[in-house]
Amino acid sequence: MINLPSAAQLVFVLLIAVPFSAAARDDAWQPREDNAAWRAECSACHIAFPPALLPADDWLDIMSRLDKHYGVDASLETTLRQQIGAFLERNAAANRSLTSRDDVPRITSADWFVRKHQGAIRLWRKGKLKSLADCAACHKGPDIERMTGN
Amino acid sequence: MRYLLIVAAVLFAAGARAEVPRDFLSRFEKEAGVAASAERGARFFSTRQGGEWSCASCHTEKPTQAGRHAKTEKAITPLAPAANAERFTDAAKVDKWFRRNCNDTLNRLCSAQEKADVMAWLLSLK
Ligand code: HEC
Ligand code: HEC
Ligand code: HEC
Repeated sequence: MINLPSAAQLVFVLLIAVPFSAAARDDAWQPREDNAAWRAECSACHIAFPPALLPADDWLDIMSRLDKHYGVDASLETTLRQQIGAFLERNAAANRSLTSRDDVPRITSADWFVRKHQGAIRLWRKGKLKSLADCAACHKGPDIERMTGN
Repeated sequence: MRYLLIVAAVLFAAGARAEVPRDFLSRFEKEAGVAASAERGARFFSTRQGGEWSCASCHTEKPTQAGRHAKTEKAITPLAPAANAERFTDAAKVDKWFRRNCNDTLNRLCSAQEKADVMAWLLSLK
């Protein structure tokens, strides 16, 4: 016997299951491992960007010049810097194709990002979005909440 | 008895570590060797000094309010202790951010007097 789904069930599938299956695909927002120092230090000026969105080389490059970090001083004392660097390296993207195309490592200039964010880039060009790196302007929910650090 | 002494020592050490905002005013005043001026601090805070930003660019001219990072838009909780009990309670954090933010706004570190003035002003805000 076939059980046709009720309207309520359909609404459930659309409202709950669709966002959940999307979340299962982009589990970048849920790092395999947590690290309190990373979450506190790297979420002070922007969300703590998911480690899985850049390869290890790019993270180490970023960590080696925090005193000149995209136009601001984000310098850290050595122990913390090494601890956070090791965490980012362990949880980095395995896939080199995530490498960014800019002179400085950027998630927002990687090919996959540009492809998935045509709408965002249009808003940014029109000046309606101050920074493409302001992920939380569009991405909401508990996973990203945890990365905003407050 | 010995155990009690250790407990007391640990408690004392823990108590001595936690700072209150006024501690920073006294520390910077002592380093500067002159009395702080809240008026000078207010001017310093809101005036650009050659760079793109003043302190107020991110912390607003009324730091009892929440600010916003001038480049990334991220919300910043109020800087004035009257509005935010977490501020100026941890020396490592205070030193780290004076270092970073002075570099970003002045292209150099802030002097002890500048820091004392800013503290005096922030402490005067209600
Ligand atoms: C003092 C403020 C500050 C701190 C602390 C900070 N950042 Fe940044 N970060 C910035 C700014 C400003 C940008 C540039 C944003 C823009 O271009 O819109 C940036 C950009 C980035 C980008 C590039 C984003 C893109 O466009 O794809 C990465 C990656 C990054 N930061 C990682 C980190 C890591 C890792 C840490 C912790 C070790 C950290 N940041 C700590 C201020 C900071
Ligand atoms: C202006 C809005 C906006 C901003 C800003 C934005 N995104 Fe997105 N993002 C989207 C939209 C919309 C999609 C869905 C695109 C699609 O599926 O075609 C998306 C998709 C994604 C995906 C899923 C890609 C996939 O198929 O698995 C990831 C991961 C992602 N964004 C990460 C980020 C990160 C990290 C940042 C900040 C550095 C960011 N986004 C900034 C709107 C935004
Ligand atoms: C480009 C943005 C920006 C500018 C400009 C800026 N700050 Fe900050 N400031 C921040 C951020 C981000 C934090 C850390 C986030 C937080 O603690 O909420 C911070 C934190 C601080 C703290 C830490 C206080 C504590 O105990 O928590 C002090 C002190 C401070 N700023 C002073 C200043 C002074 C003084 C100036 C001007 C010389 C200044 N800031 C300019 C962004 C800025």
